[in-house]
Amino acid sequence: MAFRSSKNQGKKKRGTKRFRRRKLCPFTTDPDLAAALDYKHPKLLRRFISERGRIIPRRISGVNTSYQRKLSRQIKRARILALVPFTTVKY
Amino acid sequence: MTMRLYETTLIIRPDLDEAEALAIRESVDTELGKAKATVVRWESWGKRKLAYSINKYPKGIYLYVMYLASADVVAEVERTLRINEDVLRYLSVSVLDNVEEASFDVDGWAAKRSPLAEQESDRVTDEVADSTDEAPARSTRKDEEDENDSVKAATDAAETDEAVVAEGETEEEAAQPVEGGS
Repeated sequence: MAFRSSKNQGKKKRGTKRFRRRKLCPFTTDPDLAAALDYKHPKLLRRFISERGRIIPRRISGVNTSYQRKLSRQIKRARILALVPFTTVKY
Repeated sequence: MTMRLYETTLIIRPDLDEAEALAIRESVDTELGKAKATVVRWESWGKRKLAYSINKYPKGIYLYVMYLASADVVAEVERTLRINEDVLRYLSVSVLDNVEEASFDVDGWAAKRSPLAEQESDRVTDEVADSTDEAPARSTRKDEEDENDSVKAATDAAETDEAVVAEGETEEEAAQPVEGGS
C-alpha cells in the first residue's frame, strides 16, 4: 500500500511491490447512500454484513472511519430489532 | 420549551389480530397523551420475518411511532411496553436533539416514510398539523420527496454492488502474509 512505501525503503527490496488501488468509500462518494444509512434500512446494511452476520471490516469494504462508526452503530440497532442477524448458523 | 424527537419501534407477537395491535398502539398513545407529547406519525411495517426468532416466534409485527417529547417520557413509554407481554422487543432512538416545539415542522416529519413502511400512517395529531401549515413547511416537504427518491436509488445500488464486497474478501486473504512480513 502506498502509504507504507517510505517505511519499507530501508529494508531490502521485494521482487514485486503490491499496488492496490485504494478502495473508495461508498458513503463519501455517494451522498444519497449516506443519507439512507439508517437502522431502519436493512437492505442497505446487509451490504456491509458478511454471510455469517459479522460487520465487514473497513479495510475490506473501504468505508471511511467516520462512516464505519456510524454504520456499525446502525447495524447494532438493526440487530436488536431482528432486522439483521447477530449470527447465522451454517449447515 | 425544548424537546427531543424520538422514534420507537416495537415488535409485537405475530399471532395478534388488528384489533389487538391497535390496542397496543393506543396504550402507547395514551401514555404519550398523558405526558403531553406530540405524536408525529405512526407507521406499520407489517408482519416481517425476524432475522432470529424472539421468544420462539419466527415472525413479528412491526410498529413504529415518532413523537416529540421530553426525555422522561421515553422511560414511561418503555415501561408500558415492558409490562405488555405481547410486545416482543422495542427500541427507542432519539432523532433530533434540542427541538423548539413552536418552530418544529410537524407536517414535514409526518410526511416522511421509513424504508420499511408499507401502509399509510394514520395521523393522530390533525389539529397540530393544521396550525403549522405555512410556507417553510411546504419547502421541507419537497426536500423529503427528493430524499425518498435517493433512498430508492441507494437500495438499487446496494443490490448491484454486492459482488464487489465478495471480491474484496478474497483479496484480503491474499494480502495477509505480506503484512506479516513487513
